[in-house]
Amino acid sequence: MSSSDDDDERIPFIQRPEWSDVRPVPQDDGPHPIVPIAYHDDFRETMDYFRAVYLADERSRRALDLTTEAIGMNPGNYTVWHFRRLVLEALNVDLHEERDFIDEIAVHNSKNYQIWHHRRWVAEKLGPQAADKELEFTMMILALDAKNYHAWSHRQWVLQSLGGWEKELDYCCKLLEDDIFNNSAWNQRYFVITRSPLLGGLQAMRDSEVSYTVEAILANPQNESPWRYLRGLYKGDTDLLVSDNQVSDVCLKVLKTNHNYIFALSLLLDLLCYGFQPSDELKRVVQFLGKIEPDSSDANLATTICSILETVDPMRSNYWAWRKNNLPSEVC
Amino acid sequence: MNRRNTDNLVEDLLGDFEYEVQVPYLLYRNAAQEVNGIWFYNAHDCEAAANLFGRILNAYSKVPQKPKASTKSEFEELEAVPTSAVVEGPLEPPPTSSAAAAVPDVSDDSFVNFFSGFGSRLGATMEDLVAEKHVKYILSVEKKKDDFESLVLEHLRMNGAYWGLTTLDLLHKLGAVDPDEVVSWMMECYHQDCGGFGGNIGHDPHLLYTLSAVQVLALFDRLDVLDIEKVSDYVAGLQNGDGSFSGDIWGETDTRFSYCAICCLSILHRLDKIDVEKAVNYIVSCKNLDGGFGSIPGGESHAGQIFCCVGALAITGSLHHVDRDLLGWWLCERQCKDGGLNGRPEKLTDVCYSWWVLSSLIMIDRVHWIDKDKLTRFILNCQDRENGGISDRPDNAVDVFHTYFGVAGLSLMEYPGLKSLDPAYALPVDVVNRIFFGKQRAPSLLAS
Repeated sequence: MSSSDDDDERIPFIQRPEWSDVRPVPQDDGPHPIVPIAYHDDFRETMDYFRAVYLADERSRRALDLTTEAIGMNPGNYTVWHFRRLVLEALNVDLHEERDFIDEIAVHNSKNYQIWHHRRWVAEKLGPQAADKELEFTMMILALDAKNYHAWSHRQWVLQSLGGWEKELDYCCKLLEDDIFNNSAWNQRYFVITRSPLLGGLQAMRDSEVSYTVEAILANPQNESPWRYLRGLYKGDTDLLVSDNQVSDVCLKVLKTNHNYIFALSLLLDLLCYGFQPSDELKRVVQFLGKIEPDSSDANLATTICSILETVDPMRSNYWAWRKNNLPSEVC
Repeated sequence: MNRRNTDNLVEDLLGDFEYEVQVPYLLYRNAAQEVNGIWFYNAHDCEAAANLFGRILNAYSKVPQKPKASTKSEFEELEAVPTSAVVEGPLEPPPTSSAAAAVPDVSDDSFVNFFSGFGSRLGATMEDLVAEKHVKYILSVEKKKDDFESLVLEHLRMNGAYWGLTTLDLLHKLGAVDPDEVVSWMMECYHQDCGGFGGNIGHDPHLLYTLSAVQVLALFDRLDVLDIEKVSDYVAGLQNGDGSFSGDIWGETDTRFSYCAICCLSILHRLDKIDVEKAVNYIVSCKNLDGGFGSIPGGESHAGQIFCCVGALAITGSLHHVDRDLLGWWLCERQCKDGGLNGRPEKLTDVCYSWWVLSSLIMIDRVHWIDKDKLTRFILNCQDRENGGISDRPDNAVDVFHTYFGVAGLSLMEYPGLKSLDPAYALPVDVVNRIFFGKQRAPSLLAS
């Protein structure tokens, strides 16, 4: 609801002389009559007055202030936001002020679709000069919740429509330093690598990105995101994925630790299915994990991997069983 | 015993009952000396079911029967108690929401908890879903419009109506509501000038509420009250040049709206009013390297957005754009140790993902890749067994949104006693059948 200041000072609309000419309009819920409850009076009264100006289509300064109050009480009410925009346009308000208003309320309502859409509407009107402030704003929200989906969508829109790519990769690095498990930050990293007009594109960035990702994987092999990111760096080019030693190397390293190796096995399985020829060392390590005799004849690597995964990742045992039954014939 | 059969098979495991596994059959003899065999498509499911029988029999041989905890009669009228919890964050309607941030309270999936979840009564598994309580909860929410929570959420009452009424229908209790009352309220939310529906009386039109309105009318088989041309023109008019859809005239673009538009137009048999190819291409442009989909091109894969995109592709006959194995794997990786599902890597589990992840898996025919037993237990543990309703996580406050998604998830997993739910239209299968096969209608250009 409204901030503590307002609670102390709020004067009911009925007592405000500047609103004396307005007849409040109660909520119409259809056939059932409303039973008033004192606890909700402030809210109800504000909304009754809002309905009055909305139905009268009064696009005045006092109407704007009224929407501010209504939003303060219930920022999810999208009709109030719509009307606010009509009033802002009619009054030709300086949208920098509007942006400041959003700054204030966004922190407590950071997952509210209406606020984010309104922010975009304002930023669009302010144009490219708004880019810095928008990036600052999303950074502030992400500092409170680094995975806020709205903030990331907004940030991506800002970069693509208004610019500001210069420091984005650094920002991703920083967020990943804070939390290497932040899937949103990994996603943004991919966004920057592939779309920034200032970097060379995926191919140019691949080597450095692979090194970065390998390091992240080795630090936390149970982290789903860098494994997916690593695959993404080869963008469907399975030959490249198979032939880059760094990929099979990181699998081997993780497997040798005998710990948190599920994603390593899964990637290795995919590599084998793409035609990868494993080294003897890799074969031995997998056989060790699968508790198979080194020279045993049923040491089909891909099948062994599936069997291990069925055991160590039982929640997805159906998936691993399906993989086992669907290995390419060359691999069987 | 299968998705299309509305009769449930009930056997008393704790009576004279013997069983034997012969994959793919689970054979059993019941107290009536009948010998039956249950055929399983999936060998693992067969063994899991046999396993479950074994554990139940084992557990009930040890646990003493507890007396009923509550002395209240089941059929006492529930007081309309206003909830004290103000819903955090907006509960934007299907398909995506930002789940309220809450302290995780992951349920322990130990053997004992599993059986305490069954409650103090012996009997068939279906009693563990406290269906009657959920019905009462939903009906009470519909009635109380004056507590603070209702007032704060009044702008999305149309969505609330869809969640509540669809849940009632899944529980075979849609008859508890007067369709005329609902329809007349709904038509007061309709904007004659443009053809869209608002979230409640006095609210501006929006695609989200237009879809919910159409879905609710479909539930009641009252689509005839609509000016179908007008409504479908409203929806079609929200398509942008790049094939995407805006939610309303203010221009917010999101793949959620692609789903809303496509689902809505499909129900109205008016898909030919939009550029389907462009709509599909836009959705495909939101596909990520992990096989998932985001809200905009480049947006992080998120289970809610994935449902929207996969649903829209399914309805338009464009599922060939989905890499089912890759996406199926991403989706089954959403299942966490507590058995619940999350929406993105390293996020908390939440009952609502039981719908979005599960329906997506079903549409791409990969639902057997998750552990259904564990997910079922997770959902059942999110119930408020005293007052009805389901919450996002065990022991949190309930709401209609999560009640719907929890029951919907159970329906998708063929939990006994529930109607079947169509994963793309998010409506009961019999309703969808009625829409597409029920009446003699000139077929429009529907993709198969």
